Amino acid sequence: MAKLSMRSSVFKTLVTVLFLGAVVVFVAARTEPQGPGSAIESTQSQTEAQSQNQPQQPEASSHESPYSGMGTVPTKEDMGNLAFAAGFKGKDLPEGSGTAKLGADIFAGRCSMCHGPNAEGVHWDPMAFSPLHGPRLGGGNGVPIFNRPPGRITTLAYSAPSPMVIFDAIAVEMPMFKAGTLKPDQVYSLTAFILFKNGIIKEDDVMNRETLPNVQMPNRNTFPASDDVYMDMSKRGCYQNYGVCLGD
Amino acid sequence: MSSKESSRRVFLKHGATLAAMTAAGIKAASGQGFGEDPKLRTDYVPEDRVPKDHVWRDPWTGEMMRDEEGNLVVDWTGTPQWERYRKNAQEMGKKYGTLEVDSRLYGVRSRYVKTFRRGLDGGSAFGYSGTPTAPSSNKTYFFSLLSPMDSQLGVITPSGLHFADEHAEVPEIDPREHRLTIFGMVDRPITLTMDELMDMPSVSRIHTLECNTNGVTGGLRNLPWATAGHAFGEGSCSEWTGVLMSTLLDAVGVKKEAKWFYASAGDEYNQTWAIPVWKAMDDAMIAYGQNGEPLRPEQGFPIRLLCPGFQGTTNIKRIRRIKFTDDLTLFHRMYEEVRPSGKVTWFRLEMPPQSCILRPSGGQQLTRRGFHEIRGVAWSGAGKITRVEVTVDGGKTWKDAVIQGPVNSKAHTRFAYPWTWNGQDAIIASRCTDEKGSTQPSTAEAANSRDLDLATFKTRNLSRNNIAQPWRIGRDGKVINAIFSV
Repeated sequence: MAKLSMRSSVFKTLVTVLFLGAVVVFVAARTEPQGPGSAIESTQSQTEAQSQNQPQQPEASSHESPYSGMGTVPTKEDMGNLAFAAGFKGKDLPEGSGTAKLGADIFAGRCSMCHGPNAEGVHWDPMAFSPLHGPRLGGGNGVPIFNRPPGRITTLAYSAPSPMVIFDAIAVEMPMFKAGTLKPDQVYSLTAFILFKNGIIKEDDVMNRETLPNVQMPNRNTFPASDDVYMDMSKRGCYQNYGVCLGD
Repeated sequence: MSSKESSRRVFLKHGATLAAMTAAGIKAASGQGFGEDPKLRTDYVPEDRVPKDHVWRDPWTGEMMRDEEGNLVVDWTGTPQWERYRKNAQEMGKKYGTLEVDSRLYGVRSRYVKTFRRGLDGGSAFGYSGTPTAPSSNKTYFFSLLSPMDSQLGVITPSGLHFADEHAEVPEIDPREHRLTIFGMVDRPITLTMDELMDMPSVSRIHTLECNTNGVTGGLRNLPWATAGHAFGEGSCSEWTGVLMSTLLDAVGVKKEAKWFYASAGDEYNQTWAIPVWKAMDDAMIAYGQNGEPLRPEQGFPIRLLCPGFQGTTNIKRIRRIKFTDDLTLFHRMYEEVRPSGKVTWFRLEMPPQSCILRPSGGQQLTRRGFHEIRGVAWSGAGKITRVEVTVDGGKTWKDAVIQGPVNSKAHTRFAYPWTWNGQDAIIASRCTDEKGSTQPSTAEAANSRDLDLATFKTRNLSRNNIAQPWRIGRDGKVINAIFSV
């Protein structure tokens, strides 16, 4: 690819046009690693490549990789649900929507064996050696405090500073043993269900890429306003004193 | 068969072999017994006599494995031939022929060495951190497989004794099927096979990997019978081989605006962390080797993320996907810590300086007065260890120990201090300083730094507690945990 890119742009365009129609055939036939200069450039967009779910040669860009002949363009499956795991701003959130009502059914089928029918958690029986157990997810009533009195229930929804924490965990890490297999609508619905079970949203509130990031979480104010504190460790006091980060 | 006949046949056969080799233009090996017909050797078993269920099988094809000469790869344990050899060897004397298993293909420890990983997540299987599942006889709850640091000799933890915190069942991943995908805010998203990853420029570095709950779970470090293996069992040090993340950044062309990358496993649980991009530009790596061989399954086979000095959970095992972004989120296990003031400290990354005397240490026994070498290891997530001090009087005075090189950054570093035990009660401890100038605190200093009174500090199991670890040596020579005494 590095060699090709150095040739004239006319030649490049010619090659592109000639091979555009043959890309699918070429890719299907491609089983051996390509040596330097043997890769074919394509103007096909990444989205198209993903929809075919076929490995593609990386697109040429203004800067070439120093490691020629290496790798393929990721397919949709390659990126998995991590593609729509989103930060607090919700930038990468997928299309789709869900409500707690819809989420209740999905929860019963996919989650309740470990988290309990009412999201109260499941604990194992003695000598059962059972992998089916998980923490309480619903019924939270207070944010984490140093000395937690009896009756104060701190669920994930009550400690997470952003609803994205719940969405991302469900999208990428759940359900255990089949992690990352839920569809966007299911993830929105389950997130809504967890939020509803903690009294944070109503049962009919629709969660989507516009509404979800704006849900106000009980513990939101404890998180640093900017992620800059993580950009320079010396600012956090991690290297001073006893090597223990002493808070933000 | 008489010996004369036998040697005559040997001679004839030898001659025939020589003639054949000369005819083929091959120079015969000099001396007797080698380079001859293998059937003349006492150890050789022709292929038709090899018990086929003792031949190693190719993991993919199921075919019997052969070496480059075409010889079958055989574990002879339990075969009639192995037992006959053992019987013959045992006739030479009691100490011979004692190997019950044929350890020639992959070695085993001496039968007199029985160090083992303590913990709940181990045994016949690996369970779940926090909710152990596999059978165990442990009465005190702690969720990890702890490395027996109390018996560690050098700075490298043997791979089979490396600590392991697992959050789901450990899968056996086929490296030919596994991929590493890097996407998000990059110019050239890429999916790499394991072969391609191994074709990239590589490094091999010695680094400590430590859980931020080291010594915390189950209050192990506070228990009177705690050994160094209980106090620091969730820390191990290995030589890691792999591709630096900075190399991969070059390959994908990460965009300037990217501040974080989400690193995600490909297994039953897909553990994921958000990690600052500066760590990828610094020393994070995708490791495929540990201590000279491929990663073990419980260490993330075929590849894992290694963030030297960062807390254990960031070192994603079985890493499958990396997404670059400018938007931070929290994944499971990116915990917060609440202080009495109500202030919340969110996830931390680097581990503080720590050290521990391993000999003499908790559970051990001094058998005589006189010279003892106090020795142990020190490490810090911030860089190299620059100083280690030792006290033999319960913290009243501290003296410099000798640091034994080579000193690796963010890695176990050995120290030694010559000491003469006079047979009296003594409390010994070590404290280290790293290249950023951080020194381990005393109990009082640590409590103060966390806004806690001493009593509360002692009863709460606090993550990243890096107070000096003292050991008390009684008049009887018994060494016990003396936590909080320094």
